[in-house]
Amino acid sequence: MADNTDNDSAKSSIGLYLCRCNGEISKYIDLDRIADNLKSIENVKVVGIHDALCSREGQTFLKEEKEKHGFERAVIGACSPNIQGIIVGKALEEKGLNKYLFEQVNIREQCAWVHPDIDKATAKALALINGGLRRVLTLEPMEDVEISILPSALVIGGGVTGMQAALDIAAAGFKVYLLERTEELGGRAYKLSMTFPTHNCGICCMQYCKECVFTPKIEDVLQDEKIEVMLNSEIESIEGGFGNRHITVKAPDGPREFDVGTIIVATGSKTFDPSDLPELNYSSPDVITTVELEQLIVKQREKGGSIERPSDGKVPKTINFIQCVGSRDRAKGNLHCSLVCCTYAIGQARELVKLIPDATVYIHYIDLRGPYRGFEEFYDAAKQEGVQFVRGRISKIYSTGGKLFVRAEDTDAGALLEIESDLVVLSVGQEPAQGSEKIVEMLHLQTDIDEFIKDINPMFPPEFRRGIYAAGCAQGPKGIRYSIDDAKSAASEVIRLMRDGTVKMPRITAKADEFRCRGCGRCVDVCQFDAITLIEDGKGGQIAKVDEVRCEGCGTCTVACCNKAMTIIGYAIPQVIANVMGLVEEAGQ
Amino acid sequence: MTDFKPSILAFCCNWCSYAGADLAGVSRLQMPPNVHVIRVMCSASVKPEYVIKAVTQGIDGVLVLGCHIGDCHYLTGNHRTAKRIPLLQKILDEAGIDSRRIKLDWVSAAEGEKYQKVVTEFVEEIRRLGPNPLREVRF
Ligand SMILES: Cc1cc2nc3c(=O)[nH]c(=O)nc-3n(C[C@H](O)[C@H](O)[C@H](O)COP(=O)(O)OP(=O)(O)OC[C@H]3O[C@@H](n4cnc5c(N)ncnc54)[C@H](O)[C@@H]3O)c2cc1C
Ligand code: SF4
Ligand code: SF4
Ligand code: FES
Repeated sequence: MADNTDNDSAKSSIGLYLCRCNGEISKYIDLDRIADNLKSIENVKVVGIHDALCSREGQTFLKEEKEKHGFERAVIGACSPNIQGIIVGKALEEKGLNKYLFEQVNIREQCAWVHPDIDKATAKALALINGGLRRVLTLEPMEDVEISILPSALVIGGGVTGMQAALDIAAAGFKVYLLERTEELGGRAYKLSMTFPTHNCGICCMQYCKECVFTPKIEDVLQDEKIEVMLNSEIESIEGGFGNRHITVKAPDGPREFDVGTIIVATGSKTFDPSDLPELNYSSPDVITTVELEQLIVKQREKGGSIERPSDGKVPKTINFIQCVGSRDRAKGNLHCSLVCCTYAIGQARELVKLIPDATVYIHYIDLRGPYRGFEEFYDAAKQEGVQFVRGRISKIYSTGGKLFVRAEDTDAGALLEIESDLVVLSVGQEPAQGSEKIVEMLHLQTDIDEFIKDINPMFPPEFRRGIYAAGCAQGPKGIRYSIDDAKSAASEVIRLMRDGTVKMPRITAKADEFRCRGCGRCVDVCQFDAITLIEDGKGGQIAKVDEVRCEGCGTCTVACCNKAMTIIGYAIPQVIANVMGLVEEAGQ
Repeated sequence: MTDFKPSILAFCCNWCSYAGADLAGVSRLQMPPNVHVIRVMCSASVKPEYVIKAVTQGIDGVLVLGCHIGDCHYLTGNHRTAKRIPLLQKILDEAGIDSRRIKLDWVSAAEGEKYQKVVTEFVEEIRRLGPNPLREVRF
């Protein structure tokens, strides 16, 4: 480290602390040897070793050390900064160390725990820590970015999830814009004839059904003065960043614009289209989806009488339910399980057995999945009531001589079945709502392997979501109860953000060097978050300016810039190169 | 060549690969100690010059690890990485540096085992290639 004298920060002093992690590190790495090796390095004012820096004793130790030695920067050799890192540095921060002058070097997960040879592990740890020491000298003191959050929310989608979220946010006193692209609120749950687990009026309490004793929720939403409902409306554009986004909505009576601090995406799901699979013979009028069966049941309720099949109005006597249509088979739709289909199909089968007492109702399933309380009892009741469960896939549904047949396998009985059927019901799975990819793109959200919006680990700090939450079926298939849970938890996070009014974010953002920038705009083109604009530089030219609220700190622009003008704070060229050089010094010998 | 100890750097993006390396540790998956991780926010922020710097300083191999395509925390950052690194390899080849010393791969936060495999295989590969000839020069 002798060649380090030409730089300003050479004067700054470093406190270096190594953690034994109660033996988890010191068993595999010779920390004393490292301390010996590094203590004489310029800038290193003090080296200390402790049993557990994240423990209360460790934190007290660090505070005392900071007071005693008054170093300006700190390097800690311990566990992964992504695991305990946030905790370890806290003590030093409390004693006035700027948290941007702190570097935690990972010698546990990426060293002690994966290398059996103590000498080699020690040599590697030494190199890693040397890299950290070199790097920390290049860091600059910084304050967090403070972001203000506007006190209003946008909820996209007016199904149970969106309505519940809107009601909660409004009850906390904030203005809510509730956007629904169809002409009515309620989403899918509103169109269901009965819902699990009550097998009756929905727990969402929005049915027309006469038995409903609860207050209809749709009315609550419509009557809430804090909620502005926009029907037949869709998002046109979203601009801005965390805490302040400008929304343009395409509404029937022209565009509507407003600003919001937080957003909940509750766009729900759509069901799989079975016409993609010719073997299901969906073009036949008596092959219907569970969604269409719901409509038949609702119609029967309104009109009285029995269920009538679509082709000729005959009351069906043999009915086959086919499970997992479009689910759990990538070649035939989607790989994911849609979670609610087993449950709702059993509910519908029970309803049919009740309405048509002499009917035979089969459910063809691969295996039944109902990870809900009350499911087993629900299933048991269906068996008692005479619903026939047949384990096995069906190979095809076909019509011949004006009759409909299901060719199925019964794996329990080891038999192939040809069942003449009056009505076939396809339990279609769920996919992300039509057009949800547009919303995902506008809000820079991530999607998961199943294409639904990614469920960010709730253990991450709330700033990670930048004021945007996805809830309900927009985040993957789930039942009403769980959608409501989701809505409530998203609403409470959003309310907390808006109540606080401001949020602090780590300043890991891009910054353009005004002397180096030539205003070429390459960075503007590559930034996916529209965080960079070109502004007048006052000398007749242009320079890049980064909006630090919009910038997410990916660093893509820094590579695009040929003039070395764009850098990420904390990851500027000298800072990364210092790290590289520190490693080279020790490891490259 | 028995006492050749390759020294290797790995640029790992914070969100996937660094977490994958941590998971390998948490799962105690043993691997050769030659790879030193440098954390960056996204694989797209690995400037070619970092790699070049390392190689010209005598580092024997450089891994660039990011999230799988489609999983980048910044959406499409790694699409750029996927274009840049092959280009960089071409340039290095032109300059007489074996481009096999640079390797791009994707390791998710759940792939501790893949991280172990990538590291182990790359160390083997570099062992086969022998020391970086620039080790002696270091410019
Ligand atoms: C056939 C079937 C039966 C079911 N039976 C049961 C049951 O018995 N019990 C149970 O608990 N669950 C059941 N479910 C699941 C239940 O329907 C869902 O849990 C619930 O509807 C989820 O509500 P949501 O608000 O998240 O989504 P949705 O109900 O899908 O509502 C989403 C709303 O957002 C709107 N929207 C979508 N995109 C946009 C956009 N870009 N802009 C504006 N608005 C948009 C839609 O028009 C819709 O109104 C069943 C599902 C199906 C498919
Ligand atoms: S790419 Fe570099 S030089 Fe060009 S505008 Fe952006 S910061 Fe300025
Ligand atoms: S770091 Fe990423 S988000 Fe920030 S300005 Fe650069 S490209 Fe945009
Ligand atoms: S964040 Fe991992 S590759 Fe972009």
